[in-house]
Amino acid sequence: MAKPPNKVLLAGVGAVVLLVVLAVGAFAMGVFGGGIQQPIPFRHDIHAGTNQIPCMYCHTSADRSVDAGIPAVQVCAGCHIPGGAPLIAADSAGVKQLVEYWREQKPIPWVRVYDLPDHAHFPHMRHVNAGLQCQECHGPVETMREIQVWDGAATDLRYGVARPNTMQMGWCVDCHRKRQVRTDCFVCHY
Amino acid sequence: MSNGLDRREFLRVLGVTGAGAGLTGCGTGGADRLIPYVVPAEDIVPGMSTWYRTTCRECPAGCGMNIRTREGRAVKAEGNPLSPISHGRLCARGQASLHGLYDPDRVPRPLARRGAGDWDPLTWDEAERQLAAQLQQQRGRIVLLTGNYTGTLDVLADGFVQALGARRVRWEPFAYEPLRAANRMVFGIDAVPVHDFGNADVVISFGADFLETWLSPVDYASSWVQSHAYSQGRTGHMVWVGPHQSLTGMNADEWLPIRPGTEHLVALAIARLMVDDGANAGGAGGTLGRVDVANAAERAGVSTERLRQLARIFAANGRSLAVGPGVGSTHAAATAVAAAVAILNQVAGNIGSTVRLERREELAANTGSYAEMQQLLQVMQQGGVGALLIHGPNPLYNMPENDEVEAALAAVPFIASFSPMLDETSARAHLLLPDHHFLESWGDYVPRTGVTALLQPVMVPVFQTKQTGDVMLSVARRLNAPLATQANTYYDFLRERWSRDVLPGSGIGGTFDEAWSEALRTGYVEGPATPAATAPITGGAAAASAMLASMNIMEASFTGEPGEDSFHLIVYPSYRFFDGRLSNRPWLQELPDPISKFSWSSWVEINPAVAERLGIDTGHIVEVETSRGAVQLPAWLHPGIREDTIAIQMGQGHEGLGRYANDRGVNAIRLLQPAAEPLSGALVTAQMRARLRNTGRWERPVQSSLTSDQHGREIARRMNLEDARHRDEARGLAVLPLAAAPQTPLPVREGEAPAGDAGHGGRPEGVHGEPDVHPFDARVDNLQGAGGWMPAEVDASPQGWPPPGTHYGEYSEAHPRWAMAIDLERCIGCSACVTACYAENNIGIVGPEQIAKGRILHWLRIERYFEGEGDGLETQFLPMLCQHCGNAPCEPVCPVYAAYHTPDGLNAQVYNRCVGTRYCANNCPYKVRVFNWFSHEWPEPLNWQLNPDVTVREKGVMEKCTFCVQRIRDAENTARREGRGARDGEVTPACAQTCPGEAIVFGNIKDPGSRVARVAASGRGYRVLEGLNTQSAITYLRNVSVHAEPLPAAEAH
Repeated sequence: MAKPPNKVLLAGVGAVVLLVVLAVGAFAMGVFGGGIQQPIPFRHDIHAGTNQIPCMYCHTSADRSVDAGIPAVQVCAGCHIPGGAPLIAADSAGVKQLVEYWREQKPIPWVRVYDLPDHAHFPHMRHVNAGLQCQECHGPVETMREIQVWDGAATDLRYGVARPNTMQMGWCVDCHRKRQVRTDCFVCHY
Repeated sequence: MSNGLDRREFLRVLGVTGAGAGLTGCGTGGADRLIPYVVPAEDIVPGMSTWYRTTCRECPAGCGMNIRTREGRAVKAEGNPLSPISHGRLCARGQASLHGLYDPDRVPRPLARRGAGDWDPLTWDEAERQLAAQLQQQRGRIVLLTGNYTGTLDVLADGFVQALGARRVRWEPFAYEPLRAANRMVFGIDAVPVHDFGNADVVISFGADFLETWLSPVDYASSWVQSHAYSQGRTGHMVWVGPHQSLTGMNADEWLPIRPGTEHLVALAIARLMVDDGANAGGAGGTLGRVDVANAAERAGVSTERLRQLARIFAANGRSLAVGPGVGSTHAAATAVAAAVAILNQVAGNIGSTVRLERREELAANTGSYAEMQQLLQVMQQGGVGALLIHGPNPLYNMPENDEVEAALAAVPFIASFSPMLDETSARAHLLLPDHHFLESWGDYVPRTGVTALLQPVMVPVFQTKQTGDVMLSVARRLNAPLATQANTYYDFLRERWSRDVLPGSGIGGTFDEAWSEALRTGYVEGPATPAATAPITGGAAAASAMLASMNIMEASFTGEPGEDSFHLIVYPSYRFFDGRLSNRPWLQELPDPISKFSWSSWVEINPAVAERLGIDTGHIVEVETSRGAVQLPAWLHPGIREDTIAIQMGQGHEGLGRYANDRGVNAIRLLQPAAEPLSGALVTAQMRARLRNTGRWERPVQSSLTSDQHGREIARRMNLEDARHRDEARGLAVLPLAAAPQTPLPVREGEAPAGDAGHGGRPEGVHGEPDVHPFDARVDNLQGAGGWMPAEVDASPQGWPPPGTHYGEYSEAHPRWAMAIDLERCIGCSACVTACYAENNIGIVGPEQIAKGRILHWLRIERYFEGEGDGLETQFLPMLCQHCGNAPCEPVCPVYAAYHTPDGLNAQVYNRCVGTRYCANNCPYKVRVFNWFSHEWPEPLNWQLNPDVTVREKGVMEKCTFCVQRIRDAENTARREGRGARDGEVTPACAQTCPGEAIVFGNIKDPGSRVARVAASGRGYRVLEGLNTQSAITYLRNVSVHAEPLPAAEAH
């Protein structure tokens, strides 16, 4: 007859596995070291901050669609590779990567940053047309080297002043209340 | 996939194609990567719908369609409101066309047979080379077998067979040969005239199921309801003549249950009685003079007085219409029925008014007959065919002579099939060259003379398929058999022909490209005029008379021994599966049949009195045996069938079509003798006697409605015409005098501008209002103008919310009150709304075992009740969905507030709150809440159809009708962008959108001018189970029935 498994040992192994999984997951989410790592080190602070490119130059459908839209590679190439020759910041490693993607006509596999659950509907255009600035939800993107998302931390210490929004329901509802917008479930959950 | 393409290989192929499609945009949920376009697609904005106009090809009717796409995938089919065929509506089959597009059992790429049931994948180049080589070898012995082609594909196929020196055979299982044969002889046209049900006050149908499958069912249902439903104090009248009631028969006001095979005798007797009453016999006097009314009545098993009555109401100044026979009533004298119906229409003065000879259903024109198929089989068996190319027909399923078809196919050295499915016949092919689905294709289709409809691809192909038109052009080139065209692709060929033949006569001006765009926008053009339309119509009643004189006018005989357990067998078309070609659509399999409420299986319809005599109850497995074979299937007790008759529907019993269709139910066609009607060559479907034997075994029926009795609870109510008029008068509503027949055209379909009315671009594009200007937020000062919006200044404190009157769970006066009105007079029970609801709301397919346990997930069901019996039998249909009660019993019992009331009057179900106690469903008196016992899966690529605006529910969650809240939100979003409130008619739930009878009206009932408020004010309005004080948001309008008793005096006002 087989020996019954050692419960303590099992629990210990389980805990270690769990920790490893959590750590790897957290690392993948980019919470150690600030920000999401993208396949191209795209700098929102340079584009939206230094160069003051309007958000909707790239995220074109934010005011008319539920989705703000991810720019097509062509949009990047339009500035960086006009007429087929690298122009702006041609020496940077990121632009070199971009040129490669464009040359191969391949899409850039951006890592998804904001992912609402399926049962929550967030129509961008309703919020944009209500007069909200992108920053009110997404934070001061124009200052971010990489996009910062809330990591579940209870305090603001890690982030200094600009702590990312939680993007959780309580935070949504707070704003809806402040602005006297409907807060019943069926507005977003259907 | 019974034929060797194993599942793993299939999925692998599929995966490659899926990635190749490369059309994923960004949406919400699921993926951890966001894959952008390399170059943005012009038409596609992620998160927004793009609509395309095309034409439905699920049956030969050719309804205009609007297809909604999201991120490059088709997600919903709707009718094209501009289309003269669909009037913006679709039937359940049209709604389910997306399941054809995403059918996981489609042939994913060209395949060559290697031994029995084993297939080698090919590239298209290899496949075409093989085809060309075989055709080269078999020149002179090539046959192209197609279905009903019209328009450009017909021209191309003719050119193709000419260039190859091949022969062409055209065959549709429902080709209405008797109608064509009679019209050929009577009017000199090999076609079926368009029937104008919209102007017919009285309709007599001799077995023509024009609300289901007959010719152009959506158009006919839509216009019939316009003329028949109660409006301004008047209704139409419909009589069903036949031994068995199909869905159309169940909608009739009167049923004449005649003996099978006597339709023509009854038609002639009615005509004779009309002539006796003074109608002009118009050349048929001789024939009608010989008609013995008493004898006809006796043979048919009805009283002479009843026929006299019919003759009186049918004389309606050219505003009556007789139609028939249908596919299910095609007996050995079916052409005589069609001729007798023509005489009846002529005597009633309907030719030229409700029977439009100058406009014809193209469906049947020049299509071959069953007899021609039989001839082809003989030629094949004798080795006369070297290469057979099949596009469309599935003779191995649709012909009774199974063995002969097998032998004939085996005798052909080379068979190529263009079928997108590996159906019974294609499985015998040597080469499979799968065609695109019609939603992936360019093309055109001529549903009736003078209307040419366009097809355009609504998305990139799901699989590695190729349009058959392209294959023909390419193969002809390879064989150096030039076609008379410059075009290299079918798209070019189509445009070439349109620029030459179609657009010039269409009245659209401008350059070709402008006119082409306009045609794509509207979905169809008028024209080209056919020369035949101007040719003189010969004959008329005189010719019909001469024809009938040459025939031995007797009742059609049935083969087989009469006896106690011997019955006339009727085999009739399926509303859901048509001739069986659509059986692999899970939505249609799941959809309860409108008549029997069976899903996923076959059944045999037996009169309840007979069943009692034989000890049979619904669910008993009975054996039906004819001289051709025996089948076992569950019994269903149908009061709408004669005691000497039983009926089985076509469409099930597939041996090779796909995972959803195979080995379900029985193929009733196999019970028939391979007999062609002598005059027309049609397959005789009403010809056999069958023995019925109870096996004694009982199985739980896969039925979603176990009763047809209201148990006195007055759920579906009716009233007679006098009461309806009386009540409307009392309310000050318009009531026209009964005697005066309306001389003006029917009222224009009022009301809602259906979704997608704005043409190619779909929903009306919003116009930006002036942005409100607010002081900039200092923090984002340097991004000013970053998109044209400004932050709003807010000074409200959270304590001030919610404002008074908007406390949780209460309706608030500041909001619309969404409500619905359903006119039971306009509901024909067709269940198109049910399938539309499945498509819109991602409702799970649970399968037969779960349905038998009562776990079907439909949010909307059609309740079907029988009232009365025999001659007084009437069927009442009632669409039952969440009533969105103002005082909802489901809400207070939910322990987690998942069921609650919204400020705009909806009864909401919040999935993320629901913990699955099912208290709400138990407390719902309407039984409209359904529970997810499992998480339901959609095998790839069926999941591509899922509506991205609606949550996919999981195991353990209660769900129900939301009044299509996603459409409400969409309309609100659009309205908000334009700085206004939602207008009446802007929100149309999926069920209301597709209803051919326009029975369902939705809107804000708080606005007295809204359409729903006006309809709900009718004197016929009531609410179901009103006594429970649920304050439901749905007002039903009573059926107006000739069978209804007068209301008690207290209720008469």
